[in-house]
Amino acid sequence: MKKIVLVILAFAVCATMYSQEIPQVQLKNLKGKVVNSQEIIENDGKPVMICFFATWCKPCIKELTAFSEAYEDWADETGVKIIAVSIDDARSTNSVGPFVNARGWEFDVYLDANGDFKRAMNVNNVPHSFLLDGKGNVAWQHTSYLEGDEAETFEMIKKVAAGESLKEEKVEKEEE
Amino acid sequence: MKRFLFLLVVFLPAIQLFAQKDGKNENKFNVSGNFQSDLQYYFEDQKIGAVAVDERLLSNSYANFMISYGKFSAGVRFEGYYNTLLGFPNSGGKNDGFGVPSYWANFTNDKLEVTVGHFYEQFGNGLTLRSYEEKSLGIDNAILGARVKYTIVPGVNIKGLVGKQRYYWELSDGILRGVDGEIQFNEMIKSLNDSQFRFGIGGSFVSKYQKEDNPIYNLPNNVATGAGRLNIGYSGFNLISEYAYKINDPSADNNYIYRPGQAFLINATYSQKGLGVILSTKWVDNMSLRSDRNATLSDLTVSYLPEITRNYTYVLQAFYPYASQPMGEWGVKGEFFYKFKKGSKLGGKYGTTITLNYSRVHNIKKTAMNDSTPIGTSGTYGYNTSLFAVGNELYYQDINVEISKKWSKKWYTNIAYMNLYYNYNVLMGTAGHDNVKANIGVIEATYKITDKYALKGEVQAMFTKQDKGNWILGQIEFTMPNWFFTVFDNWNYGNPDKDARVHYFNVGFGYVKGGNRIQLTYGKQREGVMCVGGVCRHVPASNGFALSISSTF
Amino acid sequence: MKKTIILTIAVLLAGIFAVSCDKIEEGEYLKHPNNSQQDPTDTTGQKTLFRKVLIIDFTGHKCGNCPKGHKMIATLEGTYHDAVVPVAMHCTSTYASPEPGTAFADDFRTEEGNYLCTYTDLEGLPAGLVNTLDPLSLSNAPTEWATLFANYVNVTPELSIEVIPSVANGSMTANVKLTAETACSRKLSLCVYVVEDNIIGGQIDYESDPTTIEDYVHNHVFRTSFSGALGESVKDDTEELAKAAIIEKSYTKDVNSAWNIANCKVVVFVYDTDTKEVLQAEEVAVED
Repeated sequence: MKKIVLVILAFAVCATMYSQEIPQVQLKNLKGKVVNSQEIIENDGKPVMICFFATWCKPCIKELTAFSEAYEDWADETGVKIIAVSIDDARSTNSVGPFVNARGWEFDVYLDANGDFKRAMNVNNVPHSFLLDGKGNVAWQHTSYLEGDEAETFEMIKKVAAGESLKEEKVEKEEE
Repeated sequence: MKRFLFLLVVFLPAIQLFAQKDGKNENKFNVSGNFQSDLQYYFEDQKIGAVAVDERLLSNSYANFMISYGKFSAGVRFEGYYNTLLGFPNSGGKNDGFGVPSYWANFTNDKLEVTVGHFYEQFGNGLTLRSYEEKSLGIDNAILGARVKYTIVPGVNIKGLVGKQRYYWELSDGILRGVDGEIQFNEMIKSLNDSQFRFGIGGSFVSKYQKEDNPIYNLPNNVATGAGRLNIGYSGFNLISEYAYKINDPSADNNYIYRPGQAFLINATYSQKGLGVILSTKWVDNMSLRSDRNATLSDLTVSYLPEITRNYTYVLQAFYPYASQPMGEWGVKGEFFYKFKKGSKLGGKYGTTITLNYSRVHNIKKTAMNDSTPIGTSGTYGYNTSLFAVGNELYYQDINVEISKKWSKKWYTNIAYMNLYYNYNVLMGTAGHDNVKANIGVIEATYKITDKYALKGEVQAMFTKQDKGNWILGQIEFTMPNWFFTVFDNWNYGNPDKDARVHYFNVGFGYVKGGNRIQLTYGKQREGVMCVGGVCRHVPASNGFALSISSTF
Repeated sequence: MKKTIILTIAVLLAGIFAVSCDKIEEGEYLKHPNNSQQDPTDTTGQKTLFRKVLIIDFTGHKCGNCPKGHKMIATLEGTYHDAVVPVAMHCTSTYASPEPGTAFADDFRTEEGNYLCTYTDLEGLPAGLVNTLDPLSLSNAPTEWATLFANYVNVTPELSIEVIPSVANGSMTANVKLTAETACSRKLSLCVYVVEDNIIGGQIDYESDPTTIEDYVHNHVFRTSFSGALGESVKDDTEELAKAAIIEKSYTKDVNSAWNIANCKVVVFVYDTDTKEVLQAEEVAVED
């Protein structure tokens, strides 16, 4: 038991000292092409949002609909790119394309049918979003969707686009 | 295992120092992980059939830790069940306890990926192999062994694996060997890269070894299953199909018959902006494969037979869930999505989305081998059938319409109507019960008080003359930045037994910040069924407090 | 390089295909097609001491998959004869509650059966315990019972059991004598059950057509226990019981008028209190 606690401590120390980078995992795009998770986050040094969702998840649809409505404005202002990763399994993997297309979402959509990317990103439940800075490091993340969350999300995107560090703010808050 | 932990403790800080020195290097040393803990305190409630547990409090927890450095990564998972929550697989206490059920190390570069330890994998649509985790159902059939993925040229990918599946804290008896290959011609052939026409093929082969050990039957030590798949696309049109075949595999699922198994999936979709159409069909016969021929329930599944029906999430729509019948089923599904454009008559200012869905599932037609041997007799070939032979018995049918509309910046509504036929006896494994015909309606409305404060109301009603009769559910949810408060009552007002007209009342709140979430609820949960991948689990009724904490870091 | 890799893969694939598929031809499915031989009672032409194996079959008359368990027991009896000691424990409200006015009017559930059902934490029917009372050994696959059963064939029992039942004045008596065949230092518990054969009633069977059978023959139906579901301890220390030492017990219980005594049997088994392994079982008709 002691050892386990030690391991957890060691991990925790490391976790606070290093920012998370995107792991390399295979995904598929809607055309069936195998893509690498590190390729899809290329955005010329501008921020990228990765949103995990599922077609059966109501809050996910609300979140992405809200993002979709604001996407044009956000992209104009900050250059942010939004990537939607579906964790639908074989039951509905093949429905994701039509589902997304019909809603007119302009995001890049990828399929993570067996949850490999979801696990690599340590996602517990959907919706779960990660905001990456221009270097591909996770600057901020958010789980669940509560009505109006898009306002906070946009604040964060603006900060990251401007090169502000969110880390310090987090540390300060914790000290309060 | 202890040594493994010890090494981690010693080397982790060391690697960290090293990484700090090596600041200029592109590679960074990353640590990440997640954690989830669900606790429930149980009260006895005879009226709903909730039993008190001896422990009073039960909990399921897990934590994953992952480290990566450039192309290398490794991870370890801790799980603790003190003791396992009701409704999760436990097999008489096999699941209780604390330990490290999985650990892995991985190397990945542009062409090659090698994993040793525990991993999850899916070949094609999963008909031949799917190892996955579904925490909410307590399913985790990770494979312990080795896996290699290799990209020979762009568009040509192969995978191979060997290993044994996880069975609670132990491993399965059987050994799995599998290979999968896929060619996407548009990627492989440069001149087709931007073609509107897309074409791909794939195939997989899985073999299970389990020593034959039965005193009565001659059983195969090795059982093989193979599948081929094809996808064709042109512009917005896509066709995906897969056919799988399994040789003789006498098992607890098929009652030790020797006929081979087959499964066929076809899925055609068309979409353009604002429109999506899906048509699919499937035909399955004797296609369950597990890494132990005697495994049952949700244990040690290798093949995954996805339900063709829609996955509903509104409580009353999900009341009677369908589960794949691996011993034989035929199903069709049609789904239609349409978005009325912004500014159009029906679209209004923000657009209106409509979803139509229909699905129907039957048994398959089986004929006995001869007059004296009933269908499915142990130690025989079993029965005869032919591909796409459909039987007369209806297992399930649903018709569903859903309309989502945003009226203004403040108002959003979602309404749904569903008509359901549910073959209670087949799907619940009982007999003499009336099959359920139900009509279900849902109205959900969200009102944004300000940009950050919102109120959501939901009314659901189910009308049926069978089973437990009518139900009505009302829910109110208030959300503000980081916080949510919810209260709902699910009332079985139409139960033919007047004493059983119970209110299932729930109240709860939660706090969300970044990747962290904490939620506390108090209430009653009805007895129910949760199904996934052809496996249904009985969830007993409960009454009590539930605390759920999750975090990603 | 590329060629080598492709070649290697091709060879590997071919190898896997070649070795990993065993087809059993029709007509070779059964190991002993005519239920020949395999009767441990009669290997040398005379009765000898042999291991008898207890199978507790958790079942229900409304459970359509449960006849698989009944059929497996019948198959085992066809091959192993007296070495099989079955007990059919009807339980759960879903699958075993009575339906008055139908062929399912009988309630075969018992207090002890319900207790065992909870004790084993069973998640579905059919479920079986083969020669053990350890809930972790519960098997939901009747086909596996045969495999578990086979573990005990040709294993010499550590104890032998002699039972003499009798009925008089509305009560049933069972005199049980345990004899140590080898020196034994286990803690021992003893269970004495009454089961009844040949009860005609309803049964759902998904393998029959129609699936409802109104005149199904229920065998080995658990009726009562003389000493609680888990029996009683007859040796609660680890001191050695010498070879040929004897433990004797006598039990009495009122006869229930619903039972047909002519079809009743007394089932006795002794198990290791710690490991829960059943060491020997015996089954004797109440009336000769």
